[in-house]
Amino acid sequence: MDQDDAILLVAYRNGDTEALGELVERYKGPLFGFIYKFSEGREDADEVFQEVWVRAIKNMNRYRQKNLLSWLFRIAHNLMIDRVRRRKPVVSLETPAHEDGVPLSERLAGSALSPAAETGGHALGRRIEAAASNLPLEQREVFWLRMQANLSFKEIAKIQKCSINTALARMQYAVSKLRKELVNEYRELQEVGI
Amino acid sequence: MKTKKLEKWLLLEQSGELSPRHQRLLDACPEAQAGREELNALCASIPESGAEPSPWAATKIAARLRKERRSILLPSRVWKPILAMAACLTLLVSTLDFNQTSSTPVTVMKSGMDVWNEQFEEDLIELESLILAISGDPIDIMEM
Repeated sequence: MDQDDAILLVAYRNGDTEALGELVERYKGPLFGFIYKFSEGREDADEVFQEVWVRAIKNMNRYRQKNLLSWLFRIAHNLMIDRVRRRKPVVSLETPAHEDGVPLSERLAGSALSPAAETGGHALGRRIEAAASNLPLEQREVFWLRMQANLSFKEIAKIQKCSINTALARMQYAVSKLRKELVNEYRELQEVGI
Repeated sequence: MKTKKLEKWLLLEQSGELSPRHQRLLDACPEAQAGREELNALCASIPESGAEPSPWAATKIAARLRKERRSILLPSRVWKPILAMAACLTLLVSTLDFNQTSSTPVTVMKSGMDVWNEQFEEDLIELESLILAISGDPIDIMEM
């Protein structure tokens, strides 16, 4: 664990509430951004964000990873999976929800559109976010963990409890789907020469 | 190099997880540059997430942790039934004890009454003889 994180955690355990505030402040950006993309609005995201921290602090003695942020993302991932299961207790994510054979995970993806659209900066970014929100859940998760939270594939694999190759394959599918969906935007990017 | 492998290595290169040996192979690949630029362009166009948690998030988290710590010490779901059971047990034990203690004095009293009766009888005989002695009948006294 990062030395500063360890110091802050010890301080919090000794009764310094401000130390917890400092920890939350340190990681709020990437963690909340990630949770927000998979939640049903700001209030829901706030609730999940708090729950992630409560679980992290409560289970800190079980924490063995070097990276606190990665541990927080892992808890957030588990919480999200629980919530998806609770919402649709009978149907599997991969089960076709309709006669058209589209998996439920792809249908659920559409629900993240509005928060994503709210957070977007410029138009191109918004279009990428909208396109990414149509990706299946696991691919979408890998995409945002890599692109926005800047986690390594090793860390992503740990979070998703899969091999690095699986995490990489999910990212490859995600990028390739985005490439197909954003043909014009890709051309625009190449012309601008970003 | 196959496109799939190239994409995989480019992704690993971007995350800093590509081995030096694969990096050398990637650097020697002519198609790598185009793929690298495309990936970089995609990364650069993703906006920073502007979403922020509530300004009271840390306070709420601390409050929830405090509440949970209190409930760990005294979880009402656990201590209420225990307390109820303890109360029932105390009531049961004291009732049994009361029955025992209330039945013992009866026998004690019974035996005590017997003792008292014998004593009373003796005392009564003595008193009778005393009465007779002081009755003022000289003959009788002489006879006694």
